[in-house]
Amino acid sequence: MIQVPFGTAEWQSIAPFSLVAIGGMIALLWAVFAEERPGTTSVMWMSQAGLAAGLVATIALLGSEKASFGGTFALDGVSLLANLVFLLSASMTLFMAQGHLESMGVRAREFYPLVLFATAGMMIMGAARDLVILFLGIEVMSLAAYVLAGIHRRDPGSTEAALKYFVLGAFATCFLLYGIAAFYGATGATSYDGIRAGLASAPRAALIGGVALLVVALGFKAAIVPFQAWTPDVYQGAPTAVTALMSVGVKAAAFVGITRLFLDGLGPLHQDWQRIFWVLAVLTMTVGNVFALVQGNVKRMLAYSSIAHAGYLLAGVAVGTSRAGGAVLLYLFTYAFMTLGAFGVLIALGTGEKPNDDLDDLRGLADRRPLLAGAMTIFLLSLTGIPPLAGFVGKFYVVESAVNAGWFWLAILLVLNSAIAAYYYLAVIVAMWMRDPIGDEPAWESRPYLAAALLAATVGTVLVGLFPSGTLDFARHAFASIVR
Amino acid sequence: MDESSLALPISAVLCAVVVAVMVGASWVLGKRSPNRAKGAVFEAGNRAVGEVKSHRFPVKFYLTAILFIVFDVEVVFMYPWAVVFRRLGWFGLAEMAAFVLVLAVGLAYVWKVGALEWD
Amino acid sequence: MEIGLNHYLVVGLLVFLAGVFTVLTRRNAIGVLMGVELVLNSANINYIAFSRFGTGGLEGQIFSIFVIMLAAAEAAIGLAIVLGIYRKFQTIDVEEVDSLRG
Repeated sequence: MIQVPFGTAEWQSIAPFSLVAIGGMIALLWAVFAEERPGTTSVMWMSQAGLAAGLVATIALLGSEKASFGGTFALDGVSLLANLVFLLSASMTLFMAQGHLESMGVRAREFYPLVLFATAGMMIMGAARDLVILFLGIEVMSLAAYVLAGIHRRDPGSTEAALKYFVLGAFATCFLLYGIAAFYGATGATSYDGIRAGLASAPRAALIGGVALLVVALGFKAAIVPFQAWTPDVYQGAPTAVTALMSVGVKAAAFVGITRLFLDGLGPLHQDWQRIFWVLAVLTMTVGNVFALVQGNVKRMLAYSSIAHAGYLLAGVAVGTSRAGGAVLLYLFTYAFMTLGAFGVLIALGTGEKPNDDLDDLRGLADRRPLLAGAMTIFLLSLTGIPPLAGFVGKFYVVESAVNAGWFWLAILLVLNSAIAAYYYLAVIVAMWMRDPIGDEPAWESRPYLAAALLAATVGTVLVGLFPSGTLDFARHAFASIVR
Repeated sequence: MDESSLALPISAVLCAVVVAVMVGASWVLGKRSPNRAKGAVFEAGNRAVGEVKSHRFPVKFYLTAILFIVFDVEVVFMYPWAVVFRRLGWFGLAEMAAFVLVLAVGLAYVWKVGALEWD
Repeated sequence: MEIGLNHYLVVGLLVFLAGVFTVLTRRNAIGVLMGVELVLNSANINYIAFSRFGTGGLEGQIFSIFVIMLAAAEAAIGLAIVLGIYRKFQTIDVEEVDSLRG
C-alpha cells in the first residue's frame, strides 16, 4: 500500500480554492439546467455564494502557517491575504457585471461560473510553492480569462481581444514551460524547496536561461514592458467587467506568483534577477505613463495606467526584502479597490448602444450624475497617490521599502513617474467637474448591484487609506517567513 | 566550468545555427514560384478540388472534434493511476472519482447546451 | 555513439525553435496554434529526457502528462476562438484582424 499523506493541513490548504471551484461548477449546471428567464439574478447569487464560501474558509484560516503536500502548497499569510484580494475583486466584478452584460446583449450566463474558475486559478497561483502547481494555477486562470475576454460574441472587438489574449498567452505559456524545464534539468526539482537546495550545484547557464524564460512568461501575464503589447487592445476590446477582472485579479495573481517565486524559490539568485527587475520596473512605469498621457479613450487610458502600476509593483519586487514584499501585497490590496471602482464607473456610463467611455463622454459628468463623478474623483485621486487615500499608502510603503534597502534611484524614479501620472488622471477630473457636457444625456439605466459595488469600492479606497497599518503589519509578517 | 554546464548553451547555439542555415539556405537556393496551389489554405501542394464556398462542411464536425479532444485527452491521467490503483487503495479511488465527477459536470453542461446534437 | 541527454535536448531545442518560428511567421491563426503545440511538445521532450537521464525522478514524466492535457484544453479554446473570429471577420489571417486601435 502506498500511504498518501493527506491530513488536516492538506484539507485546509485546498479548502478555499476548492470551494470556489465547486461553487463555480454548481452555478454552471444551474445556469443551463434551471433555464431561468433573462433578467433574473440566480446564477449571479449562486456564484456569489461560491465566492462567499471561499471567503469564509479563508477568514477562518487566517493566522495559519502550514506547509502541505510536502511543502509544495502553502497555507500562510501571503496566500490568505492574496485570497482576500482575489475573492473581493471577483465578487465586485460579478455585481458590476449584473445588468451590464444584459444591456450589451450578452446572454451567456456562463460568465459568472467562469469568473469563479478564474478566481480558483488565481488562488492556486497565490499558494503555489512548486513550479508545476504555479503552472496549473496560471492555466486554470488564463483559460477562463481567454473565454471571458471573448464572452461578447456578437462584438468583433471582444472576439478580437480574445484572439490576441489567447495567442500571446499561449506563447507565454510556452516560455513558462521551457523555463520550468531548465530549472528541472538544472536542479532536479520543481518545488521551491528542492530548487533552493539544488541551486548551488546547478550549472549557471541553465539557471540564467531559466530565470530569463520565467521573467518573460510571468511578464506577459502581469503586463510588464516589453511584454505588454497585448494589453491595451485586449483591455479595450473585452467587456469592461472582464477588463476590471483582468487588470485587478489576473495582475494581482501574477504578482503574488512572481513575488513568491523570486523572493522564496529563487531568493539565492537575487543578484541576477534584481537587476532585470530594476530595469523592467522603470521601463514599465515610464512607458505606461507616457502612453497613458495621449489616450482619448478613458478605458484605454486605464489600461496603460494599469501597466504603469505594474511598474510600481515590480519596483517592490526588485527591492526584494520582506518589507518590500509586504508593501507589494498591501499595494495589490489598495490597487484592487481603486481600479475596480474606476472601471465600475465606466460600466455605469455605458448604455446598450454606446460604451460612452471616451474622455469627451465624461465631460460635465458632475452636473449630470454628481455621485458617480464624486466616486470617480476619489478613485482617480487614489490612483494618482494623493493622501489619505488607499493609492497613496500603497505607493508610500513601496517607496519606503526601496529607500530602506538603499535603492534611492528606484524610489526617485517612482515618485517622478507618479507626478507624470497625475497629469492624465487630473485631466479626467477636470473634464468631469469644469467642462460643459457634449450632446444629449444618454439613457442611463439604474443598476442597484453596480451601485452597491461602487459604494464598496469607495469605502474600501478610503478605509484602507486611513487605516493601512493592520493590513501592512499582516503582510510584512507574512513575508518575514518567506524571505530567507 | 565543467562539461555539463556548457551543454545547454552549446546546444542552444548549435540549434540556432542549424535553423539559420536551413532556413537561410532554402531561402537563398529555393526557387520561388508562387502559384495558386501554394497559396491555397491547406498548403498541401495540390490544387483544392471544388469550391469551398458552395458546400462548406457543417461546423458541427469542428465542434465535435473540439469536444472529443478535451474529453479524450483527459483519460491520459487514468493511465498512471491504473498502474498503481490497487496499491493506492480507497484514497486513490476517491481521488479518481472526484476527477471523473468534474469531467461529468463538463459533460452534463455540454449535453444540456445541445453541443452533442447533430441537428 | 551512445544517445544521451544532450541529443534529446538538441531535438527539443530544434522543435522549440521551429515552433517559435512558426508562431512568429504564420499569418493563419490555425498555423499559429500549430506552432504553439510544437513548442509545448518540445518542452515535453525536455521533461522526459531530464526525467530519464537527470536526478529528478518521475516528476518530469508526470509533468509531461499535465502539459499534454493543457495542450488539448488550449487547443479546444483556441479553435473555438478562431471559429468566432471567422464568423465575425470572414478571415483567420491574424494580421487582418486588427480593428482595435487607440
